[in-house]
Amino acid sequence: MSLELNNISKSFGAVNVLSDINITIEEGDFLVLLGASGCGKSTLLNCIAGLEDVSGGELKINGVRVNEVDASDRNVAMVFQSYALYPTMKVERNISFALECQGVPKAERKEAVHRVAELLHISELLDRKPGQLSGGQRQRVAIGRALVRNPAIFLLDEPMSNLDAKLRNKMRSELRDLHRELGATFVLVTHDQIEAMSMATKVAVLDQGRVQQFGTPFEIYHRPENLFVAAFVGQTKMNFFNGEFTSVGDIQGIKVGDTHIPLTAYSFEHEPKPGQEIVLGIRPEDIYEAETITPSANSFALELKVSARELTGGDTNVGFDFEGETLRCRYKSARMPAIGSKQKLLMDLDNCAVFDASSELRI
Amino acid sequence: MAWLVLLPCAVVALYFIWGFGAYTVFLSFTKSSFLPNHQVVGFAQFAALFDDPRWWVAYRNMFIFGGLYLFSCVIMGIVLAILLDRVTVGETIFRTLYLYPMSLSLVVTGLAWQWLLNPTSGVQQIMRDSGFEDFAFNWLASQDYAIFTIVFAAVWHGTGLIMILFLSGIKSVDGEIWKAARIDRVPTWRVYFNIILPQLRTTLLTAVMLLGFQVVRSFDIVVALTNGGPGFASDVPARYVFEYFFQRGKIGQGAAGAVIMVATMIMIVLPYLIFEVRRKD
Amino acid sequence: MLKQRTLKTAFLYAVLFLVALYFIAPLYVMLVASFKTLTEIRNSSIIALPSEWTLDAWKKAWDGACTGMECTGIKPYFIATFEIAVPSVILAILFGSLNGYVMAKWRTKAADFLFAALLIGSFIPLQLFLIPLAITLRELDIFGTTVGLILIHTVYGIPLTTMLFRNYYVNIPDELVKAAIMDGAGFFKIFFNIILPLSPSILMVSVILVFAGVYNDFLFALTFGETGKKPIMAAVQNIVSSSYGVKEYNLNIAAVMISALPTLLLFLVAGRFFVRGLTQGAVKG
Repeated sequence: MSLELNNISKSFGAVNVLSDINITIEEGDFLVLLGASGCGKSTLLNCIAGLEDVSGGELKINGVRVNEVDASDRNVAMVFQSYALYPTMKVERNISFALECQGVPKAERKEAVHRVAELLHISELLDRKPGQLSGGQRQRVAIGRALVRNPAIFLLDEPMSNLDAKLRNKMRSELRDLHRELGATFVLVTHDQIEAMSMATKVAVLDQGRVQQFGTPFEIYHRPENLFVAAFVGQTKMNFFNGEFTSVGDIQGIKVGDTHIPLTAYSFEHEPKPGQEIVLGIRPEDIYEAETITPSANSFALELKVSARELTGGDTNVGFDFEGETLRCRYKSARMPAIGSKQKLLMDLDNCAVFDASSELRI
Repeated sequence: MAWLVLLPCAVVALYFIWGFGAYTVFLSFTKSSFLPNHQVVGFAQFAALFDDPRWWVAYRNMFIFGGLYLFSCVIMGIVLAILLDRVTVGETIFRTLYLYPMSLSLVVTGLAWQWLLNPTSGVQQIMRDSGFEDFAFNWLASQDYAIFTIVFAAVWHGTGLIMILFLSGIKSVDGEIWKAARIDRVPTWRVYFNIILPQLRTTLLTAVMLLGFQVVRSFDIVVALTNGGPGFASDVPARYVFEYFFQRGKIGQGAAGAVIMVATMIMIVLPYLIFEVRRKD
Repeated sequence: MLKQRTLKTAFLYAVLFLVALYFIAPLYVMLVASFKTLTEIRNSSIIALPSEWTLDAWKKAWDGACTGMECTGIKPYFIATFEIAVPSVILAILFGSLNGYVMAKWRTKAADFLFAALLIGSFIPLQLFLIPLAITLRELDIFGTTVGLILIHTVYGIPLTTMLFRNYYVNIPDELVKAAIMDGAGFFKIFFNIILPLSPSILMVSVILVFAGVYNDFLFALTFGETGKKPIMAAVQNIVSSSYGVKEYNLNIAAVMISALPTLLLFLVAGRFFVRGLTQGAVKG
């Protein structure tokens, strides 16, 4: 079912936790609310669930206003960060408790539980209590509890944060499969951008109670709309260089220290005036060792001194001195250049982003 | 629904606790004698109270008893906790032995000690029977010492709880402290007094609060052990107030005594509360 | 080195043993005396074991000892105390657990305020309540009755149980309640299906603490007890201090022993709940 958030705001006393939230998703979308802790993403999820009242704006599920509707009547289900399994009930009753509250007959409940248990491969756990389950099993039960109600929307609050890395990978793909299989609407809260990138159909990046950018994972990653999103998204932080928008001859570009980087290939939405302070953003993976690729019209060649390096497995993060700042680059090999050595690099400017220095918005 | 559930509780808090308290404060300013009387007489009842030498004996006793009781319970509690923490075998049995008086009522405590301290049957007689013909221990019948028998009995009743508070405090201190102290060659007693006990500030506070309220409320044990006697030498405010309420028919003066009890408590607790609040800010 | 350590240990145990004597002495002396005949009590040391063990004193204390004119033993008082304690325990816990649930999980300003009012109020010396209580009980026509004492103990038990349950429920994750709300469970359904099944230990603590409080109560028993059916502590105190005729020490002592038994047994069986209640209730309050 679709979900529509119009100008949602939420304040606790004088503190504004959420302001001007506008998000609309369609049935079958997988929305990820991405942000650091304290950005308001969990509050937003609680508002959608009906566990918190919104202070302003309108919340619609399937086109119907639900602001005043009680949590239990919104037909949404939630998987909690701690899973919140009822410790004294067996798995079976945990899953069927919602149906019990709705007065569904016992036989029907049983059938529903078994259907869900089969789907999630937890049939053999039905007789156990939550305390006897492993982390992964608990999470499945929590999902099962949501699933059994056939809700309009699934809400998931950092469901993977209590799992170890390996299990997290596995559950990520299972959750993605489940979403595809059910074709239902999911809303997931996380601070983990990999989860956002790999599962979402739509991502909303939140900071300080505001939506910084709402779009597909591809858009979020490749067309960040402001400096915050650009800096927040990405495994290795994007490189930012402040400079002045100038022309050398008839080539427009950014002057960073003594280096002039041409921006002729960049399509501006709002072309800056000459002399305007701008910020060039370029991801570490868009900077290559010169000998590994063939230069194109939009690549910019540099020769810099290595200042730091770090092996991360398949890749190597290498830092260079560039105009008094560090330029981070991701080598797609295990080659470790010596510190202090000079290296030839190629910047691929096709994927760069340019921001206004004062408004911090993409231009 | 939540409101409906809290309703009985609100009635209790507002009527039976705060309402009653306020009413008694009001009574202390009235002419009430055998029956409550709502004619206000200002501070006359307080004046009568302060003119009564018996009140001052009782009031002074509260501090003598309270001071000794608090001091003894805390010191004994801490020492016993440390000793039990050192013990490997028999901790449970010793702990149970020190702790069981807590489960007895203060009336039973008072009566038991009355039996033990009674000059004709108790400790004095044991000593005389064992050859110390001149041994004298008749505090129970002594104007000057009767109040100390109450301390004896109350400490017997209260030490166990304080010990257990400190014992669980000591055991909850990070075990690596001991390893670190051993490597630094810190003597055991120093670990307790310089490292562990300073961490148990809140435990001490809890203990003092718990005991303090026992002192102000102490009624049962005094009635059972000495009944305020001999004469009224071991009287305490809680018993004094009770007597003036129900046996002497001086409700107003009794109420004044009760108000002074509460005022004393507030004066002791308030500085601490202010200190704590300031510390948190 | 080894010798020094052995010496230390011996010293440690010696101290512990001596202290244990202080704690055990009154109980021992009473226990011994309660098995002696009156003649033997008069003629033997209080620490000597009985030359001939007899249960007479216990029997007579149970149903033959006199308080003033009545010679019923402490049996009727013993039973009366349970008649008061059982309903008081049930009521105080019922209200306390619901209060605690509301205060911990449905937090509102009003609930917080009420909690503070109860908490601070519970430190007020009970003497302050005696006169208004007497008036109220008279008005309700339950002065000096079992019902009156049940009311008193319920009312003044509620602050304690509320505090115990609230402090316990605060540690139950809020998400559990949220999950149940999402599942469509209502106020009472959440309480009875989710919260209460998590409460056996705190229930145990509360039962023991409230029962011991009511059973060991003296002030209210003395003031508001029914003549001839006074709660046990008032009755025992009365028996021991009654000055009619010859003092039958063995009988008095047996009566005290009998009155001490219920809470003593409770402590021996469930001591850890006792301790937990007294310490935790205090620490967090």
